[in-house]
Amino acid sequence: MSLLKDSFLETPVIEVRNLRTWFPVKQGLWGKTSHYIKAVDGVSLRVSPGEIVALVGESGCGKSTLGNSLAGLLPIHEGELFYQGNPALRKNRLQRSVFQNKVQVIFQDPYSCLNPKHTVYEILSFPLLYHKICKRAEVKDMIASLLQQVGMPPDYMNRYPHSFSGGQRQRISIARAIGMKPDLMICDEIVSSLDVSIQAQMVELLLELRKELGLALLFIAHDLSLVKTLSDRLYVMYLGKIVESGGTEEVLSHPRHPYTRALIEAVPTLDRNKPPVILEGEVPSFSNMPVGCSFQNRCPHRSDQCQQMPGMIEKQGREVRCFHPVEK
Amino acid sequence: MEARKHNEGEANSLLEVSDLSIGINRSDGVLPLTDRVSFHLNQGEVLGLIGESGCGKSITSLAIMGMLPEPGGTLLNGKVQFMGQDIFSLSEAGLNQLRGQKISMIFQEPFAAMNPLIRIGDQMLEVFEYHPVDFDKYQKIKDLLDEVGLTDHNRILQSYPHELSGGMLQRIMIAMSLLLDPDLLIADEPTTALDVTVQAQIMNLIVRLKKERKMSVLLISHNISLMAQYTDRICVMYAGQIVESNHTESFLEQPNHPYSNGLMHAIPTLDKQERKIISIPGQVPEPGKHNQGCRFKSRCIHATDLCLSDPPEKTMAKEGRYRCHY
Amino acid sequence: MAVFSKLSQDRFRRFRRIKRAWYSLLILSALFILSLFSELICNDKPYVLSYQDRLYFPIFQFYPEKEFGGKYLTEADYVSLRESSDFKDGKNWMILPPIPHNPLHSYIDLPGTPPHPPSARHLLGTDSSARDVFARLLYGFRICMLFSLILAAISTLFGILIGGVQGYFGGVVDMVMQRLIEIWSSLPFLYVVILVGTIYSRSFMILILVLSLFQWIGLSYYMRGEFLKIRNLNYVKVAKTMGMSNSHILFRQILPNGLTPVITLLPFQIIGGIGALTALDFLGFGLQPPTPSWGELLSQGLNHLFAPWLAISTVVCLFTTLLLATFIGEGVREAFDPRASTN
Repeated sequence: MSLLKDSFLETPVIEVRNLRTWFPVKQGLWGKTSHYIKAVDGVSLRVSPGEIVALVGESGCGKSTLGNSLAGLLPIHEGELFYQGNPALRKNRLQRSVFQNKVQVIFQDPYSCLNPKHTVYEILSFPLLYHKICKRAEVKDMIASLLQQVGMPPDYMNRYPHSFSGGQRQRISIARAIGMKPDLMICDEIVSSLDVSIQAQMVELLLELRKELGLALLFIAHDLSLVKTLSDRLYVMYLGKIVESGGTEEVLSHPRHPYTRALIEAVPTLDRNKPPVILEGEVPSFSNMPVGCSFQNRCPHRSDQCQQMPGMIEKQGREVRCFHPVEK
Repeated sequence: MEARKHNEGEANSLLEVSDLSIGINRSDGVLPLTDRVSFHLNQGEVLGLIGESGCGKSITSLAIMGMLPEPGGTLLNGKVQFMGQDIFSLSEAGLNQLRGQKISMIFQEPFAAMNPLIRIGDQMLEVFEYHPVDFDKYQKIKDLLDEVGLTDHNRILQSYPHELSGGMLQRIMIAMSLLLDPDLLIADEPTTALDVTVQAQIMNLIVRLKKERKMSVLLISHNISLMAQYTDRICVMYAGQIVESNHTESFLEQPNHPYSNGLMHAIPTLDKQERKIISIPGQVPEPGKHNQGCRFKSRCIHATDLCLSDPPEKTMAKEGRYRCHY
Repeated sequence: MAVFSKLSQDRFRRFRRIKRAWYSLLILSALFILSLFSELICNDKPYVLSYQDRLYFPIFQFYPEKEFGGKYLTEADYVSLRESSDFKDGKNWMILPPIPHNPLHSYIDLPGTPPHPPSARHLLGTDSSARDVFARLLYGFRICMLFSLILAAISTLFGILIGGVQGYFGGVVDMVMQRLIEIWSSLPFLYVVILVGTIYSRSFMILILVLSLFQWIGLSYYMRGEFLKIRNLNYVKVAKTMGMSNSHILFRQILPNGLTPVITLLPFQIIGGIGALTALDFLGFGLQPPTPSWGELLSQGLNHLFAPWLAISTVVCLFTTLLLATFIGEGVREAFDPRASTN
């Protein structure tokens, strides 16, 4: 993708360096921290303007924790975060004022993201008026235009959330977010709970919004096939760490990390001659992590070297965290 | 209704659903949820029932066990025959005999299907409470745990559900459902809540068990790729009706109904080279709000006036049946 | 804003379908509204009076004795006026309310010793000070209901505020406030009422004030729980990530959704208020005499057991009111039952 080369020249909308979100486990009489659950352990990623970046991983890999940390809902243990080149963390607390509402988050469950007691008008107008994005007299027009942008008729603004389906509710959440004219939208599994045909509609919508508004997206998901249709670049996460990254098509057609490859091969396809390949074993729990590479207990290529944590090997815009990356 | 022709031997049919129409009694009338659903399942076969949320597939699967939606569910028409017996003519005692023993079911959310306060071992033993058996229950439980790949018996039997992962719980659910050697296993979205790597493990397990026990499986899902990989035959449901029914291989080569076609194109898969997916415009109509004519007309790109007025009855085309004028 | 969202409408509709609760609500409300017009139903002053061809409206206006041929400027005594010759001969007339008695007027001229048994004139007899029982019950009902409604309103307000702050902020704030509440709730409220009543006068407002100091505690537990639960919901998280202020989140996001316990507890708060006031009046620590009050009537009834109409009529009224309120409360609880929701 042509964006890949340009992105390294422009200031990224958001850049994360070595982010760690650790949850302390307190034990004993005095609640001393005995160890940490390292849900996000040294993650670095970046999103360039207008780019759609996907963060994939299975449940429990820490991707939602990362999303929540970037949204400022979880305390960060360590790391750096830059918005448009400006540091946004001070003493490991997110300074939301640096974002100036230009970074918006949309969550997974459409049924709990909208206040059931508010009409769509109220839901959309509160942030617009509170942050003085527009004047009171202009609000109604603004809301009508937002609704149209997400493909909903403006007279829906008088209705309550319960009269909408999951997909429609997500559209309303998206409308709420784009009202702030963001540079970046963090989408935390926003289509995972929707029907498959609706997922397709949402992907179309996001692509259109990117085209119209120049919006960048950090799309957190677990569905590789969906990510293929949507994102330019891809990060694969496993047990709190990024294990591979690169251009989406490249990574999906020529995965280099054994986990990425296993993930791709496990997805059922329509080709009955290619049954999914089983990856044995289970994801180790965070409190029981293996020493060294976190994938070793399931990796078909493991060796003694893997008892040490592999660093990230970077080559031509692709990164792999493995001592034995899969060759083509 | 047209007479149904049975190409396959009727004698092999383990489960036969005919014209099943289920509704809900409400204060303002009866709300129909399914409309003349008909399909059959042969012994040793995996039948896939695919459709999106609200199409009625879960209701149909529960009806097979004689369970109607609460409150107010009624059987408007049709019948379900399992091994020759009419399900809805059985008493509650008769149904209880059937459930768990002859027909077993596993659900989507393994966490929700288990009692969080009771240990796994005790929950598995509960299965035997209503179905007295004369073999060694404990040994059977252990054997089945082995079969599903959980070898650390003691730890698992002593654990509570929240201490185990989703994949492990789903395996335990499968083991529980097989304790009484059922002839039919209904799997309602068994892997939707699981990661894709675990999904592959679980589906593989189900297929293997099916082969070993010569069991039949009714697989319900919204994932067409899953159907493609694991089913022998497939039925597509939309808005309470079966709109297409065929052998899976033939279906994949040539989906006949526009909805099936739409589904295939709307779902992204990794093996497709093109990136674009084509969505189906519009939304599923609510139950009870269908006008006459084809239920898919408002979203179908081929819709004509004929589709607006006449509900298409199934046309027979080789082994595939589909509900469309075209 | 959506107090009348579809969910609320559903609940209201479910409530109406519970016949017992709905009719109880209608009856109790009707009685209460009726009692608000007690002066028009039950009064010894006439609605309209014609004296020497001039019309007077004594209920609505003050007329001195002198107007009607008396000597002084104090208010005319319509009871004696009724009996006097001026009105007996038909030239002057007055139209009296259906129950022509005042709860404060002692009919000392009645034959026999008070309390007098029910008669044609006094439907429920008189009490130990020869005052009409029916009038006292009616006016007492009004005072009872007003008291408990105002009490419920004030304690609801405090309950929401304090419970809400506890639930929303959690942590240290919650812990400290909880300990304070525990200490506060261990105070014996009866003693406090007696003390305060002795130091200051035992007026309606003082009693409400003192009782409301304690009544909010129960609701605050529920509100704390509701707020604790709601603040973890996604729409609150979204509001936070959009940089909305704490007060916006508390009042506009959480509060409209946390009102369920308020409504379900309200009937029981009212019952509690009625019970509290009646108990205090019974013990003599409540409203000052000669304020009509059920509790006071009950205590009279106890002292005059050979005049059963006192105790029986009061008990029946009390029982009926509490029963109606209980039906309403049960109906509300059932209507709000989340399991009954069709969603």
